[in-house]
Amino acid sequence: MTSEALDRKIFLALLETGGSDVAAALAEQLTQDFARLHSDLQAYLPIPDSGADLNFQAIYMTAHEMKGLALTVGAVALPELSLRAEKMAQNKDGAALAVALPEVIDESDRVRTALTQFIENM
Amino acid sequence: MNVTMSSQSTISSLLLVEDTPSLQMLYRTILRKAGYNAICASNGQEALSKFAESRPGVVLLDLMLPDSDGMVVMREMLALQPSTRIIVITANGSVNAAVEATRAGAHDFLVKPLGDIRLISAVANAHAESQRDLPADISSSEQTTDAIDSSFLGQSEVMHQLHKKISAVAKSMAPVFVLGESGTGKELCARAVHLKSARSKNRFVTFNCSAIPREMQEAELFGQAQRSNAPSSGIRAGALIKADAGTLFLENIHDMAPAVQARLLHFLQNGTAAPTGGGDQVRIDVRIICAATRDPAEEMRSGKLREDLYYRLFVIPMHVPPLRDRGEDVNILARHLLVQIAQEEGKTFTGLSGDTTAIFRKAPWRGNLRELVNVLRLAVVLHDGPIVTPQMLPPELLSYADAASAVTQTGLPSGATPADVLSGMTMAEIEELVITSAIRRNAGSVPKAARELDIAPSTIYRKRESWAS
Repeated sequence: MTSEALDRKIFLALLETGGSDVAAALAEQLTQDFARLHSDLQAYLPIPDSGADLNFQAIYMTAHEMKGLALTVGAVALPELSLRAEKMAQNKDGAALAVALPEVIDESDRVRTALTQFIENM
Repeated sequence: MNVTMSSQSTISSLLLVEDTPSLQMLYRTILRKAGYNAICASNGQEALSKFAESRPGVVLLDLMLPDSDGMVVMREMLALQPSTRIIVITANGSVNAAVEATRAGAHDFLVKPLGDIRLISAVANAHAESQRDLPADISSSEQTTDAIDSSFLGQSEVMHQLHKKISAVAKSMAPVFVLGESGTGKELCARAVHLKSARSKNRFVTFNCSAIPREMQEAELFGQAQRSNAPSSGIRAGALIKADAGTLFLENIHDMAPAVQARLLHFLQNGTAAPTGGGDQVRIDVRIICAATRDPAEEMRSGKLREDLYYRLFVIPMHVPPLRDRGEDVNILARHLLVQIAQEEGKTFTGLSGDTTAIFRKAPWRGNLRELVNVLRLAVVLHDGPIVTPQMLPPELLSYADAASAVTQTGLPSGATPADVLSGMTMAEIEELVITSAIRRNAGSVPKAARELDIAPSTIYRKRESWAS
Protein backbone atom coordinates (compact mmCIF):
# COMPACT_ATOMS: atom_id res chain seq x y z
CA MET A 1 0.00 0.00 0.00
CA THR A 2 1.32 3.46 -0.88
CA SER A 3 0.67 5.58 2.16
CA GLU A 4 0.55 8.85 0.25
CA ALA A 5 -2.41 7.71 -1.89
CA LEU A 6 -4.64 6.51 0.92
CA ASP A 7 -5.02 7.25 4.62
CA ARG A 8 -4.86 3.76 6.12
CA LYS A 9 -6.69 4.71 9.33
CA ILE A 10 -9.66 6.22 7.52
CA PHE A 11 -9.97 3.30 5.15
CA LEU A 12 -9.70 0.73 7.91
CA ALA A 13 -12.36 2.53 9.96
CA LEU A 14 -14.57 2.61 6.89
CA LEU A 15 -14.31 -1.14 6.40
CA GLU A 16 -15.01 -1.72 10.10
CA THR A 17 -18.17 0.35 9.92
CA GLY A 18 -20.18 -2.47 8.44
CA GLY A 19 -18.53 -5.28 10.37
CA SER A 20 -16.34 -8.09 9.10
CA ASP A 21 -19.15 -9.80 7.18
CA VAL A 22 -19.61 -6.75 4.98
CA ALA A 23 -16.00 -5.53 4.78
CA ALA A 24 -14.94 -7.82 1.94
CA ALA A 25 -17.98 -7.03 -0.19
CA LEU A 26 -17.60 -3.31 0.46
CA ALA A 27 -13.91 -3.39 -0.44
CA GLU A 28 -14.70 -5.28 -3.64
CA GLN A 29 -17.41 -2.77 -4.59
CA LEU A 30 -15.12 0.18 -3.88
CA THR A 31 -12.46 -1.28 -6.17
CA GLN A 32 -15.02 -1.78 -8.92
CA ASP A 33 -16.31 1.79 -8.54
CA PHE A 34 -12.81 3.25 -8.78
CA ALA A 35 -12.14 1.11 -11.85
CA ARG A 36 -15.35 2.31 -13.50
CA LEU A 37 -14.67 5.99 -12.84
CA HIS A 38 -11.06 5.62 -13.93
CA SER A 39 -12.21 4.04 -17.18
CA ASP A 40 -14.88 6.71 -17.75
CA LEU A 41 -12.42 9.57 -17.27
CA GLN A 42 -9.99 7.96 -19.69
CA ALA A 43 -12.76 7.85 -22.28
CA TYR A 44 -13.36 11.58 -21.80
CA LEU A 45 -9.69 12.56 -22.30
CA PRO A 46 -9.29 15.03 -25.16
CA ILE A 47 -7.75 13.50 -28.26
CA PRO A 48 -5.07 15.88 -29.57
CA ASP A 49 -5.77 17.45 -32.96
CA SER A 50 -9.07 15.57 -33.30
CA GLY A 51 -11.18 18.72 -33.07
CA ALA A 52 -13.76 16.83 -31.04
CA ASP A 53 -15.58 18.77 -28.31
CA LEU A 54 -15.11 17.68 -24.71
CA ASN A 55 -18.13 16.27 -22.93
CA PHE A 56 -17.95 18.79 -20.08
CA GLN A 57 -21.15 17.61 -18.40
CA ALA A 58 -19.99 14.00 -18.29
CA ILE A 59 -16.55 15.02 -16.99
CA TYR A 60 -18.19 17.19 -14.34
CA MET A 61 -20.45 14.36 -13.16
CA THR A 62 -17.66 11.78 -13.10
CA ALA A 63 -15.18 14.08 -11.34
CA HIS A 64 -17.85 14.91 -8.78
CA GLU A 65 -18.55 11.24 -8.13
CA MET A 66 -14.83 10.54 -7.92
CA LYS A 67 -14.48 13.32 -5.34
CA GLY A 68 -17.23 11.89 -3.13
CA LEU A 69 -15.79 8.40 -3.29
CA ALA A 70 -12.23 9.63 -2.70
CA LEU A 71 -13.31 11.59 0.39
CA THR A 72 -15.09 8.54 1.76
CA VAL A 73 -12.18 6.09 1.43
CA GLY A 74 -9.63 8.55 2.82
CA ALA A 75 -7.72 9.24 -0.40
CA VAL A 76 -5.11 11.91 0.26
CA ALA A 77 -4.65 13.89 -2.97
CA LEU A 78 -7.48 12.62 -5.15
CA PRO A 79 -10.31 14.72 -3.61
CA GLU A 80 -8.50 17.97 -4.37
CA LEU A 81 -7.56 16.90 -7.90
CA SER A 82 -11.13 15.77 -8.58
CA LEU A 83 -12.53 19.04 -7.26
CA ARG A 84 -10.25 21.01 -9.58
CA ALA A 85 -11.34 18.96 -12.59
CA GLU A 86 -14.99 19.33 -11.54
CA LYS A 87 -14.67 23.13 -11.48
CA MET A 88 -12.81 23.22 -14.80
CA ALA A 89 -15.54 21.15 -16.41
CA GLN A 90 -18.17 23.42 -14.91
CA ASN A 91 -16.36 26.40 -16.42
CA LYS A 92 -15.91 24.53 -19.72
CA ASP A 93 -12.16 25.11 -19.54
CA GLY A 94 -10.92 22.51 -22.03
CA ALA A 95 -7.29 23.69 -21.99
CA ALA A 96 -7.02 23.35 -18.23
CA LEU A 97 -8.75 19.98 -18.32
CA ALA A 98 -6.27 18.67 -20.85
CA VAL A 99 -3.66 19.02 -18.10
CA ALA A 100 -5.75 18.25 -15.03
CA LEU A 101 -7.68 15.22 -16.21
CA PRO A 102 -4.63 12.97 -16.70
CA GLU A 103 -3.56 13.87 -13.15
CA VAL A 104 -6.93 12.72 -11.80
CA ILE A 105 -6.71 9.53 -13.82
CA ASP A 106 -3.18 8.78 -12.57
CA GLU A 107 -4.06 9.49 -8.97
CA SER A 108 -7.23 7.42 -9.09
CA ASP A 109 -5.15 4.57 -10.47
CA ARG A 110 -2.79 4.90 -7.49
CA VAL A 111 -5.72 4.86 -5.08
CA ARG A 112 -7.22 1.81 -6.76
CA THR A 113 -3.85 0.02 -6.57
CA ALA A 114 -3.54 0.95 -2.90
CA LEU A 115 -7.02 -0.38 -2.24
CA THR A 116 -6.27 -3.65 -4.01
CA GLN A 117 -3.03 -4.15 -2.10
CA PHE A 118 -4.73 -3.36 1.16
CA ILE A 119 -7.53 -5.83 0.48
CA GLU A 120 -5.10 -8.58 -0.52
CA ASN A 121 -3.35 -8.18 2.83
CA MET A 122 -6.58 -8.24 4.85
CA MET B 1 -17.33 3.90 15.02
CA ASN B 2 -19.84 1.45 16.37
CA VAL B 3 -23.28 2.95 16.67
CA THR B 4 -26.18 0.94 17.90
CA MET B 5 -29.71 1.97 18.61
CA SER B 6 -31.06 -1.02 20.41
CA SER B 7 -34.29 0.71 21.31
CA GLN B 8 -34.91 1.72 17.72
CA SER B 9 -37.40 -0.62 16.18
CA THR B 10 -36.86 -1.55 12.57
CA ILE B 11 -38.72 0.73 10.20
CA SER B 12 -39.15 0.27 6.50
CA SER B 13 -40.15 3.80 5.60
CA LEU B 14 -36.72 5.04 4.63
CA LEU B 15 -35.61 5.56 1.03
CA LEU B 16 -31.90 5.83 0.22
CA VAL B 17 -31.09 7.44 -3.13
CA GLU B 18 -27.39 7.12 -3.98
CA ASP B 19 -25.97 6.32 -7.41
CA THR B 20 -22.47 5.18 -6.40
CA PRO B 21 -22.89 1.46 -5.59
CA SER B 22 -20.21 1.28 -2.89
CA LEU B 23 -21.56 4.35 -1.10
CA GLN B 24 -25.09 2.97 -1.32
CA MET B 25 -23.82 -0.28 0.21
CA LEU B 26 -21.96 1.62 2.95
CA TYR B 27 -24.92 3.82 3.97
CA ARG B 28 -27.36 0.92 3.82
CA THR B 29 -25.06 -1.10 6.10
CA ILE B 30 -24.74 1.73 8.64
CA LEU B 31 -28.50 2.22 8.65
CA ARG B 32 -29.25 -1.47 8.98
CA LYS B 33 -26.95 -1.74 12.01
CA ALA B 34 -28.92 1.11 13.58
CA GLY B 35 -32.22 -0.68 12.96
CA TYR B 36 -33.33 1.01 9.74
CA ASN B 37 -34.30 -0.96 6.67
CA ALA B 38 -33.46 1.22 3.67
CA ILE B 39 -35.16 0.84 0.32
CA CYS B 40 -32.50 1.78 -2.26
CA ALA B 41 -32.61 3.64 -5.55
CA SER B 42 -29.74 4.54 -7.89
CA ASN B 43 -31.24 7.31 -10.00
CA GLY B 44 -33.99 9.91 -9.95
CA GLN B 45 -36.56 7.93 -11.90
CA GLU B 46 -36.16 4.84 -9.75
CA ALA B 47 -36.27 7.04 -6.64
CA LEU B 48 -39.58 8.65 -7.61
CA SER B 49 -41.07 5.29 -8.53
CA LYS B 50 -40.08 3.70 -5.20
CA PHE B 51 -41.16 6.81 -3.32
CA ALA B 52 -44.63 6.65 -4.84
CA GLU B 53 -44.88 2.96 -3.93
CA SER B 54 -43.61 3.08 -0.37
CA ARG B 55 -44.40 6.67 0.73
CA PRO B 56 -41.46 6.76 3.17
CA GLY B 57 -41.33 9.21 6.06
CA VAL B 58 -37.62 9.84 5.54
CA VAL B 59 -35.52 10.05 2.36
CA LEU B 60 -31.73 10.22 2.09
CA LEU B 61 -31.13 11.87 -1.27
CA ASP B 62 -27.88 12.40 -3.16
CA LEU B 63 -28.24 15.73 -4.95
CA MET B 64 -26.30 14.74 -8.06
CA LEU B 65 -27.95 11.84 -9.83
CA PRO B 66 -27.07 10.44 -13.25
CA ASP B 67 -30.46 11.11 -14.83
CA SER B 68 -31.81 14.10 -12.93
CA ASP B 69 -31.21 16.97 -10.57
CA GLY B 70 -31.74 15.90 -6.97
CA MET B 71 -33.45 19.22 -6.19
CA VAL B 72 -36.11 18.46 -8.79
CA VAL B 73 -36.57 14.97 -7.37
CA MET B 74 -36.91 16.44 -3.88
CA ARG B 75 -39.57 18.93 -4.97
CA GLU B 76 -41.58 16.16 -6.65
CA MET B 77 -41.42 14.03 -3.53
CA LEU B 78 -42.51 16.90 -1.28
CA ALA B 79 -45.35 17.74 -3.64
CA LEU B 80 -46.52 14.14 -3.38
CA GLN B 81 -46.10 13.90 0.38
CA PRO B 82 -45.22 17.16 2.19
CA SER B 83 -44.64 15.47 5.55
CA THR B 84 -41.62 13.56 4.21
CA ARG B 85 -38.30 14.56 5.75
CA ILE B 86 -35.62 14.69 3.07
CA ILE B 87 -31.97 14.60 4.07
CA VAL B 88 -29.78 15.82 1.25
CA ILE B 89 -26.38 14.19 0.77
CA THR B 90 -23.78 15.91 -1.34
CA ALA B 91 -20.06 16.15 -1.94
CA ASN B 92 -20.58 19.84 -2.71
CA GLY B 93 -20.68 21.50 0.69
CA SER B 94 -21.06 25.16 -0.17
CA VAL B 95 -23.17 27.47 1.96
CA ASN B 96 -25.29 28.37 -1.05
CA ALA B 97 -26.03 24.73 -1.81
CA ALA B 98 -27.11 24.13 1.77
CA VAL B 99 -29.31 27.21 1.88
CA GLU B 100 -30.86 26.42 -1.50
CA ALA B 101 -31.61 22.83 -0.48
CA THR B 102 -33.06 23.88 2.86
CA ARG B 103 -35.24 26.52 1.27
CA ALA B 104 -36.47 23.96 -1.23
CA GLY B 105 -37.64 21.85 1.70
CA ALA B 106 -34.67 19.70 2.75
CA HIS B 107 -34.81 18.71 6.39
CA ASP B 108 -31.05 18.35 6.76
CA PHE B 109 -27.92 18.69 4.68
CA LEU B 110 -25.05 16.19 4.97
CA VAL B 111 -21.66 16.63 3.34
CA LYS B 112 -19.55 13.67 2.23
CA PRO B 113 -17.69 11.93 3.72
CA LEU B 114 -20.50 10.94 6.04
CA GLY B 115 -19.65 9.82 9.55
CA ASP B 116 -21.90 7.02 10.78
CA ILE B 117 -22.91 8.91 13.94
CA ARG B 118 -23.89 12.00 11.98
CA LEU B 119 -25.81 9.91 9.46
CA ILE B 120 -27.77 8.00 12.07
CA SER B 121 -28.52 11.04 14.22
CA ALA B 122 -29.80 12.90 11.15
CA VAL B 123 -32.05 9.96 10.20
CA ALA B 124 -33.30 9.50 13.77
CA ASN B 125 -34.09 13.20 14.03
CA ALA B 126 -35.85 13.25 10.67
CA HIS B 127 -37.83 10.13 11.55
CA ALA B 128 -38.98 11.67 14.85
CA GLU B 129 -39.99 14.87 13.06
CA SER B 130 -41.90 13.02 10.36
CA GLN B 131 -43.87 11.16 13.03
CA ARG B 132 -44.68 14.38 14.86
CA ASP B 133 -46.08 16.04 11.77
CA LEU B 134 -48.40 13.25 10.68
CA PRO B 135 -51.82 14.57 9.78
CA ALA B 136 -54.40 14.41 12.55
CA ASP B 137 -56.30 11.52 11.03
CA ILE B 138 -53.15 9.40 11.03
CA SER B 139 -51.69 10.62 14.30
CA SER B 140 -54.78 9.78 16.26
CA SER B 141 -54.21 6.14 15.56
CA GLU B 142 -50.42 6.09 15.79
CA GLN B 143 -49.44 8.53 18.50
CA THR B 144 -49.45 7.63 22.14
CA THR B 145 -51.71 9.43 24.51
CA ASP B 146 -48.92 11.24 26.29
CA ALA B 147 -48.40 13.19 23.09
CA ILE B 148 -51.07 15.37 24.74
CA ASP B 149 -52.66 16.22 21.42
CA SER B 150 -55.97 15.99 23.23
CA SER B 151 -55.16 18.74 25.68
CA PHE B 152 -57.21 21.32 23.83
CA LEU B 153 -60.44 19.39 24.24
CA GLY B 154 -62.84 21.05 26.62
CA GLN B 155 -65.71 23.44 27.08
CA SER B 156 -64.44 25.73 29.82
CA GLU B 157 -64.58 29.46 29.39
CA VAL B 158 -60.80 29.78 29.73
CA MET B 159 -60.24 27.39 26.83
CA HIS B 160 -62.91 29.09 24.77
CA GLN B 161 -61.09 32.37 25.29
CA LEU B 162 -57.78 30.75 24.39
CA HIS B 163 -59.19 29.37 21.13
CA LYS B 164 -60.47 32.83 20.22
CA LYS B 165 -57.10 34.36 20.97
CA ILE B 166 -55.29 31.74 18.86
CA SER B 167 -57.48 32.58 15.86
CA ALA B 168 -56.84 36.29 16.33
CA VAL B 169 -53.06 36.16 16.73
CA ALA B 170 -52.62 33.64 13.91
CA LYS B 171 -53.39 36.41 11.43
CA SER B 172 -50.54 38.53 12.76
CA MET B 173 -46.77 38.25 12.33
CA ALA B 174 -46.14 39.58 15.83
CA PRO B 175 -44.13 37.37 18.19
CA VAL B 176 -46.21 35.33 20.62
CA PHE B 177 -45.14 34.31 24.11
CA VAL B 178 -46.98 31.27 25.46
CA LEU B 179 -46.99 30.88 29.24
CA GLY B 180 -48.19 28.02 31.32
CA GLU B 181 -47.24 25.29 33.71
CA SER B 182 -45.48 22.16 32.59
CA GLY B 183 -47.81 19.74 30.83
CA THR B 184 -50.51 22.25 29.95
CA GLY B 185 -49.96 22.06 26.18
CA LYS B 186 -47.93 25.17 25.36
CA GLU B 187 -46.40 23.58 22.27
CA LEU B 188 -49.83 22.53 21.08
CA CYS B 189 -51.00 26.11 21.53
CA ALA B 190 -48.04 27.33 19.45
CA ARG B 191 -48.76 24.70 16.79
CA ALA B 192 -52.37 25.82 16.70
CA VAL B 193 -51.26 29.41 16.02
CA HIS B 194 -48.99 28.13 13.23
CA LEU B 195 -51.65 25.89 11.68
CA LYS B 196 -54.19 28.71 11.62
CA SER B 197 -51.69 31.14 10.07
CA ALA B 198 -50.77 31.78 6.45
CA ARG B 199 -47.54 29.90 7.20
CA SER B 200 -49.28 26.61 7.90
CA LYS B 201 -47.97 24.91 4.76
CA ASN B 202 -44.41 25.55 5.87
CA ARG B 203 -42.48 24.15 8.78
CA PHE B 204 -43.05 24.42 12.50
CA VAL B 205 -39.61 23.92 14.03
CA THR B 206 -39.11 23.40 17.76
CA PHE B 207 -35.97 24.61 19.53
CA ASN B 208 -35.87 23.77 23.24
CA CYS B 209 -33.09 25.79 24.88
CA SER B 210 -33.21 23.66 28.03
CA ALA B 211 -32.61 20.48 26.08
CA ILE B 212 -29.58 21.70 24.13
CA PRO B 213 -26.21 22.24 25.86
CA ARG B 214 -25.32 25.93 25.88
CA GLU B 215 -22.12 25.38 23.90
CA MET B 216 -24.14 23.77 21.09
CA GLN B 217 -27.05 26.20 20.98
CA GLU B 218 -25.48 28.67 18.57
CA ALA B 219 -24.67 26.01 15.96
CA GLU B 220 -28.06 24.33 16.38
CA LEU B 221 -29.94 27.61 15.98
CA PHE B 222 -27.88 29.37 13.30
CA GLY B 223 -26.32 26.36 11.58
CA GLN B 224 -22.70 25.35 11.47
CA ALA B 225 -20.14 25.92 8.74
CA GLN B 226 -18.15 22.70 8.50
CA ARG B 227 -14.51 23.22 7.79
CA SER B 228 -11.94 20.56 7.16
CA ASN B 229 -8.79 19.99 5.16
CA ALA B 230 -10.87 18.26 2.57
CA PRO B 231 -11.79 20.34 -0.45
CA SER B 232 -15.40 19.85 0.44
CA SER B 233 -16.53 22.08 3.25
CA GLY B 234 -20.14 22.84 3.97
CA ILE B 235 -22.89 23.94 6.27
CA ARG B 236 -25.25 22.14 8.58
CA ALA B 237 -28.59 23.91 8.55
CA GLY B 238 -29.76 25.40 11.84
CA ALA B 239 -33.27 25.70 13.22
CA LEU B 240 -33.71 29.23 11.84
CA ILE B 241 -33.09 28.18 8.24
CA LYS B 242 -35.27 25.10 8.69
CA ALA B 243 -38.10 27.34 9.84
CA ASP B 244 -37.72 29.74 6.91
CA ALA B 245 -41.20 30.84 5.74
CA GLY B 246 -42.65 28.99 8.71
CA THR B 247 -42.62 29.24 12.49
CA LEU B 248 -39.80 28.79 15.00
CA PHE B 249 -40.97 27.65 18.44
CA LEU B 250 -38.43 28.67 21.08
CA GLU B 251 -38.92 26.91 24.40
CA ASN B 252 -37.38 28.07 27.68
CA ILE B 253 -35.50 31.00 26.22
CA HIS B 254 -34.19 31.88 29.67
CA ASP B 255 -31.86 28.88 29.23
CA MET B 256 -30.39 30.32 26.04
CA ALA B 257 -26.69 31.27 26.36
CA PRO B 258 -26.10 35.07 26.51
CA ALA B 259 -24.03 35.07 23.31
CA VAL B 260 -26.81 33.25 21.45
CA GLN B 261 -29.38 35.70 22.83
CA ALA B 262 -27.25 38.52 21.39
CA ARG B 263 -27.14 36.85 17.96
CA LEU B 264 -30.87 36.17 18.07
CA LEU B 265 -31.52 39.83 18.86
CA HIS B 266 -29.35 40.83 15.90
CA PHE B 267 -31.34 38.49 13.67
CA LEU B 268 -34.64 39.92 14.89
CA GLN B 269 -33.39 43.43 14.12
CA ASN B 270 -31.97 42.67 10.67
CA GLY B 271 -33.76 39.58 9.41
CA THR B 272 -30.47 38.03 8.32
CA ALA B 273 -28.17 35.44 9.86
CA ALA B 274 -24.98 33.60 8.95
CA PRO B 275 -23.98 30.10 10.01
CA THR B 276 -21.72 29.77 13.01
CA GLY B 277 -18.11 29.51 11.93
CA GLY B 278 -18.44 31.64 8.82
CA GLY B 279 -20.48 32.02 5.71
CA ASP B 280 -22.72 34.51 3.99
CA GLN B 281 -25.55 36.36 5.69
CA VAL B 282 -28.85 34.87 4.53
CA ARG B 283 -32.25 36.55 4.74
CA ILE B 284 -34.66 34.39 6.72
CA ASP B 285 -38.39 34.93 7.06
CA VAL B 286 -39.63 33.32 10.24
CA ARG B 287 -42.29 33.92 12.87
CA ILE B 288 -41.12 33.37 16.42
CA ILE B 289 -43.30 31.85 19.12
CA CYS B 290 -41.73 31.48 22.57
CA ALA B 291 -42.89 29.42 25.50
CA ALA B 292 -41.88 29.27 29.12
CA THR B 293 -43.02 27.82 32.40
CA ARG B 294 -41.44 30.72 34.30
CA ASP B 295 -42.40 34.38 34.19
CA PRO B 296 -40.15 35.90 31.46
CA ALA B 297 -40.30 39.32 33.12
CA GLU B 298 -38.81 37.78 36.24
CA GLU B 299 -36.13 36.06 34.13
CA MET B 300 -35.32 39.44 32.59
CA ARG B 301 -35.07 41.10 35.99
CA SER B 302 -32.78 38.34 37.25
CA GLY B 303 -30.51 38.84 34.24
CA LYS B 304 -31.16 35.49 32.56
CA LEU B 305 -32.98 37.06 29.64
CA ARG B 306 -31.71 40.19 27.86
CA GLU B 307 -34.02 43.13 28.36
CA ASP B 308 -33.92 44.18 24.70
CA LEU B 309 -34.66 40.61 23.61
CA TYR B 310 -37.53 40.35 26.10
CA TYR B 311 -39.22 43.42 24.63
CA ARG B 312 -38.70 42.06 21.10
CA LEU B 313 -40.32 38.73 21.94
CA PHE B 314 -42.88 39.47 24.63
CA VAL B 315 -45.38 41.13 22.32
CA ILE B 316 -48.50 38.94 22.51
CA PRO B 317 -48.69 36.90 25.74
CA MET B 318 -50.93 33.83 25.79
CA HIS B 319 -51.62 31.88 28.95
CA VAL B 320 -52.48 28.18 28.69
CA PRO B 321 -54.45 27.46 31.86
CA PRO B 322 -53.55 24.59 34.16
CA LEU B 323 -55.92 21.64 34.22
CA ARG B 324 -57.23 22.48 37.71
CA ASP B 325 -58.58 25.80 36.39
CA ARG B 326 -60.48 24.21 33.52
CA GLY B 327 -63.45 22.99 35.51
CA GLU B 328 -65.24 20.05 33.96
CA ASP B 329 -62.68 19.86 31.12
CA VAL B 330 -60.69 17.41 33.21
CA ASN B 331 -63.44 14.83 32.97
CA ILE B 332 -64.04 15.43 29.26
CA LEU B 333 -60.34 14.87 28.70
CA ALA B 334 -60.23 11.89 31.06
CA ARG B 335 -63.04 10.08 29.22
CA HIS B 336 -61.37 10.75 25.87
CA LEU B 337 -57.96 9.58 27.08
CA LEU B 338 -59.38 6.57 28.89
CA VAL B 339 -60.69 5.07 25.67
CA GLN B 340 -57.33 5.60 23.93
CA ILE B 341 -55.32 4.14 26.80
CA ALA B 342 -57.65 1.16 27.15
CA GLN B 343 -57.22 0.41 23.44
CA GLU B 344 -53.44 0.62 23.76
CA GLU B 345 -53.45 -1.71 26.76
CA GLY B 346 -55.98 -4.13 25.32
CA LYS B 347 -58.56 -3.48 28.08
CA THR B 348 -62.21 -2.49 28.05
CA PHE B 349 -62.88 0.74 29.92
CA THR B 350 -65.85 2.87 29.02
CA GLY B 351 -66.10 5.63 31.61
CA LEU B 352 -65.60 7.17 35.04
CA SER B 353 -67.74 6.68 38.11
CA GLY B 354 -69.46 9.71 39.66
CA ASP B 355 -67.09 9.63 42.64
CA THR B 356 -64.09 9.54 40.31
CA THR B 357 -65.27 12.58 38.36
CA ALA B 358 -65.74 14.44 41.66
CA ILE B 359 -62.19 13.59 42.70
CA PHE B 360 -60.84 14.59 39.32
CA ARG B 361 -62.54 17.98 39.58
CA LYS B 362 -60.97 18.59 42.99
CA ALA B 363 -57.47 17.31 42.37
CA PRO B 364 -54.75 19.94 41.92
CA TRP B 365 -53.18 18.22 38.86
CA ARG B 366 -49.81 19.86 39.36
CA GLY B 367 -48.47 17.73 36.51
CA ASN B 368 -51.45 18.74 34.38
CA LEU B 369 -52.33 16.49 31.48
CA ARG B 370 -49.25 14.28 31.87
CA GLU B 371 -50.33 13.49 35.42
CA LEU B 372 -53.88 12.73 34.29
CA VAL B 373 -52.56 10.36 31.63
CA ASN B 374 -50.39 8.59 34.23
CA VAL B 375 -53.31 8.21 36.66
CA LEU B 376 -55.53 6.74 33.95
CA ARG B 377 -52.84 4.43 32.65
CA LEU B 378 -52.20 3.12 36.14
CA ALA B 379 -55.89 2.38 36.59
CA VAL B 380 -56.17 0.65 33.23
CA VAL B 381 -53.03 -1.44 33.61
CA LEU B 382 -53.77 -2.66 37.13
CA HIS B 383 -57.51 -3.17 36.89
CA ASP B 384 -60.25 -4.46 34.65
CA GLY B 385 -63.03 -2.20 33.43
CA PRO B 386 -65.41 -1.05 32.46
CA ILE B 387 -65.62 1.93 34.91
CA VAL B 388 -62.78 3.76 36.67
CA THR B 389 -63.68 3.88 40.36
CA PRO B 390 -61.90 5.71 43.22
CA GLN B 391 -60.42 2.40 44.39
CA MET B 392 -58.35 2.36 41.19
CA LEU B 393 -56.79 5.78 41.86
CA PRO B 394 -53.47 6.49 43.61
CA PRO B 395 -53.84 7.03 47.38
CA GLU B 396 -52.46 10.56 47.29
CA LEU B 397 -55.23 11.56 44.90
CA LEU B 398 -57.87 10.00 47.12
CA SER B 399 -56.58 11.59 50.28
CA TYR B 400 -56.42 14.99 48.70
CA ALA B 401 -59.94 14.72 47.39
CA ASP B 402 -61.51 13.39 50.58
CA ALA B 403 -61.93 16.68 52.36
CA ALA B 404 -63.06 18.53 49.28
CA SER B 405 -65.69 16.01 48.37
CA ALA B 406 -66.88 15.88 51.97
CA VAL B 407 -67.62 19.58 51.82
CA THR B 408 -68.85 20.03 48.31
CA GLN B 409 -70.39 16.75 47.30
CA THR B 410 -72.10 15.27 50.30
CA GLY B 411 -72.56 18.32 52.51
CA LEU B 412 -71.28 18.62 56.03
CA PRO B 413 -71.40 15.61 58.33
CA SER B 414 -74.03 15.86 61.01
CA GLY B 415 -73.08 18.38 63.69
CA ALA B 416 -69.84 19.30 61.99
CA THR B 417 -68.69 22.78 61.10
CA PRO B 418 -66.72 23.56 57.93
CA ALA B 419 -63.62 23.89 60.11
CA ASP B 420 -64.15 20.34 61.41
CA VAL B 421 -64.12 18.97 57.90
CA LEU B 422 -60.78 20.65 57.28
CA SER B 423 -59.19 19.16 60.38
CA GLY B 424 -55.95 17.37 59.66
CA MET B 425 -55.08 19.66 56.78
CA THR B 426 -52.24 22.15 56.98
CA MET B 427 -52.89 25.88 56.52
CA ALA B 428 -51.13 25.73 53.15
CA GLU B 429 -53.40 22.87 52.03
CA ILE B 430 -56.51 24.70 53.18
CA GLU B 431 -55.38 27.85 51.39
CA GLU B 432 -54.81 25.92 48.18
CA LEU B 433 -58.17 24.21 48.52
CA VAL B 434 -59.99 27.51 49.03
CA ILE B 435 -58.26 29.27 46.15
CA THR B 436 -58.61 26.42 43.63
CA SER B 437 -62.27 26.05 44.58
CA ALA B 438 -62.82 29.75 43.98
CA ILE B 439 -61.13 29.59 40.59
CA ARG B 440 -63.27 26.60 39.64
CA ARG B 441 -66.46 28.32 40.75
CA ASN B 442 -65.49 31.19 38.50
CA ALA B 443 -64.94 29.00 35.45
CA GLY B 444 -61.19 29.33 35.60
CA SER B 445 -61.08 33.11 35.87
CA VAL B 446 -58.33 34.15 38.27
CA PRO B 447 -59.41 37.82 38.41
CA LYS B 448 -62.98 36.82 39.33
CA ALA B 449 -61.72 34.34 41.95
CA ALA B 450 -59.49 37.05 43.36
CA ARG B 451 -62.46 39.42 43.64
CA GLU B 452 -64.50 36.74 45.40
CA LEU B 453 -61.71 36.13 47.91
CA ASP B 454 -60.89 39.85 48.16
CA ILE B 455 -57.24 39.37 47.30
CA ALA B 456 -55.09 40.57 44.38
CA PRO B 457 -54.93 38.34 41.27
CA SER B 458 -51.14 38.50 41.51
CA THR B 459 -51.40 36.79 44.90
CA ILE B 460 -53.17 33.86 43.28
CA TYR B 461 -50.65 33.66 40.45
CA ARG B 462 -47.81 33.74 42.97
CA LYS B 463 -49.43 31.03 45.09
CA ARG B 464 -49.99 28.83 42.07
CA GLU B 465 -46.36 29.12 41.09
CA SER B 466 -45.35 28.02 44.58
CA TRP B 467 -47.71 25.02 44.40
CA ALA B 468 -46.33 24.02 41.05
CA SER B 469 -42.69 24.24 42.16
